[in-house]
Amino acid sequence: MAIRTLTKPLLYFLLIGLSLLFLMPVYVMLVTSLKPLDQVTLSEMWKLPGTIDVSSYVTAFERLAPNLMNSFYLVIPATLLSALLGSLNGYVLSKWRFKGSDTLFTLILFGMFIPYQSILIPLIQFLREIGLYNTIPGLIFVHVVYGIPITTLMFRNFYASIPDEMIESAKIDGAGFLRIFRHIMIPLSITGFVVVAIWQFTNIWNEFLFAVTITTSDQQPIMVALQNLSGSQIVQWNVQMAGALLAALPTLLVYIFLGKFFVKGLLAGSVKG
Amino acid sequence: MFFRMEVKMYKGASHKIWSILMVSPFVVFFLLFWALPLGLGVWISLHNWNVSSGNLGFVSLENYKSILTPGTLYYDLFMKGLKNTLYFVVISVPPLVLISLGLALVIDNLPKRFKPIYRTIFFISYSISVTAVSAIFLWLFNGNGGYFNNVLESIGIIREPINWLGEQPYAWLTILITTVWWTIGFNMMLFINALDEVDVALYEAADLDGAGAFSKFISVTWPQIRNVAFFIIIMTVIASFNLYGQTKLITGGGPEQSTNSLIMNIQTSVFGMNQLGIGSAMAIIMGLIMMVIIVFQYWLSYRNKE
Repeated sequence: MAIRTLTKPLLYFLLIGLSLLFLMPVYVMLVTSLKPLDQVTLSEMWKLPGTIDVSSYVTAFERLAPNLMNSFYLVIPATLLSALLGSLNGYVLSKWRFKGSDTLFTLILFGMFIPYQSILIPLIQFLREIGLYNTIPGLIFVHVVYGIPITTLMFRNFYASIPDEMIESAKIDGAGFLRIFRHIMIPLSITGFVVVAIWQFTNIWNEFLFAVTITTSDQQPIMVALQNLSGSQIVQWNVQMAGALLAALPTLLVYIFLGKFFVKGLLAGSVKG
Repeated sequence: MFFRMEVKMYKGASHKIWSILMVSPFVVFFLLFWALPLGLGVWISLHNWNVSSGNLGFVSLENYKSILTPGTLYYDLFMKGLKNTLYFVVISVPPLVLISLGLALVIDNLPKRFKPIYRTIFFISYSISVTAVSAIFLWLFNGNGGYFNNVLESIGIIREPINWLGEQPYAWLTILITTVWWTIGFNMMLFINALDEVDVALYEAADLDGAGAFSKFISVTWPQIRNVAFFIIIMTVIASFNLYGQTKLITGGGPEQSTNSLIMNIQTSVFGMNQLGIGSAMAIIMGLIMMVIIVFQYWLSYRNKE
C-alpha cells in the first residue's frame, strides 16, 4: 500500500508531462497558423502570436477549396457504397449461410490481409482501360473495393448478435430476403452503420497512397494537394499549418464528438468476433 | 407480387436456390474486385509490360528472376526497399505496442472523470492525416534551427545542431517518433477497451492473495487481453510494412536512399522506370512475404492458446 501511494502521484505527474509533450505539435500547428508570415520563425515557433491573424486560413482555403470539394465528392459516395455493400455481404454471411459460406468468409479475411499494393497496379491498369484513371469516380471505385472486406467483417459481426429466431419467425410470416434486410436488419444495425461510416470516412479522407498514385493536380483530394501548398521558394509555414488544420478538421471533429461511441462499436464489431 | 414470389421460394428445396441466388452478386463482386485484380497482377508480372509502350510479350518468370538475381538493378531496388522496410518493422513494432499498452494501463487506472480527457488527448493525433503530420514534424525536426534542436541545445544535451533528416540513425529516429506520435492512439484505444472488459472480481481476488502490480498483470490482466494484444501486434506489423507516407513526405527516402521503403521502390519501378511487369512482380513477392509473416504470427498465437 505504501508503494502505491508513492507511485500513483508519480504516474500522474508523468502522464501529465507526457500528454503536454504529445499535444505540443498540435499547439505549434495552431499558433503558427494564426501568425502573419513575418512572425513565423523557427526560433519563436512556440510563442503565442502577437496578434491573431487569420489571413493564412483565407489563403489556404482559397488554394485548397477545389481539392476540399474533391475530398467530399470522393468520401461521401465511397463511404455510403462500401457501407451498403458491406452490410449486404454481412447479412448474407451471418443469416443466409449456405454451403461454402464459411469458406467465402475466410477468403474475405484473407483478402483483408492481402497487401493492397499487389492489387493496386492491376487496378490502375484496369482504371486506365475503362477511362477512370485520374478521376474521382476511379478513386471512389478503388476505395469501395478496398473497403469491402473490413465493412463486411464488421457488419457480419454486428448481425451475428441478432438472434436467428427473429429471422426465422419473420420467414414464417412470409418475409423474404430483402424485407428482412430492410425491416429488421437495417433498423437494428444503425449503430453498425454509424461506426462503419465513421471508420470509412476517416480512412478514405486521410488516405494517401491511392490518392497520390491515381490522381493528379485538379483531381487530387485535399490530403494530396496539401503537400503542394507550401509554395516554391519561401515556405509559408503559417499557410501550410492552416491548410493542414483545415484538412484535418472534419476527421478531428468526428473523433472528438463521436470517438468514444465509435471505438466501443468498432471493438464490438471487429475484434471479439 | 414480389412478396408472393418470395413466399413460394421458401417452400422446400427452393430455399437453397434462393439463398444462393441472393449471395451470387456478392460472389461476383468478390471475384471481380479481389480475385480478378490479384490474378491480373500475377498475369502482368509474367509479362514484359511497359507503361508507355504496352504489353511487350510473355516472359514467364523472367521478372521474378531479375528481381531475385543479385547484381541486377531491380534486385538492388527491391532488396534495399525490403531491408529498409524490415528494419522499420523491427524498430517500430515494439514501441508502438509497448508504449500504447503502458499508456492504456495508466489511463485505465485513472479516476473515471479523467479517463475520457486523456483518452482523447492521445487519440487526437490518429485523426490527422499523414500529410499534415509530416508537414509539422518536418518543421519540428528541421536541422537548421528546428524546434527539437533548439530544445535539446537549450537544456544542454547537444552542442551542435543534429542533422535529423540528413543523417542516420537520426533520419530513422525522426520517422519512428513521427509514427509513434501519429498512430499510438489507435493501439492505446484498443488496449483500453480490452482492459475495461477485465473482470474486477479477478483483481480483488488477486489483492486478497497479496499480489503485486506486476504479478497481477501477468496472472490476471494478460490472459484476458492476450487476444486483443495479438490482434494489435498483427495490425501494427502490417501497418509498419506498409510504410510509405512518412518516408515519402519527411525524408523523401534520404539520406542516400536509406529510408526508401519497399512501396516507394515499387512505385519507382512502375512510375519512374515504366516497368509495370517488374513492379507487379515486386508487389506480389512483397505480398507473399507479408502473408508468411502474418500466418506465422497467427500460428504463434494459436499455439500459445493451446
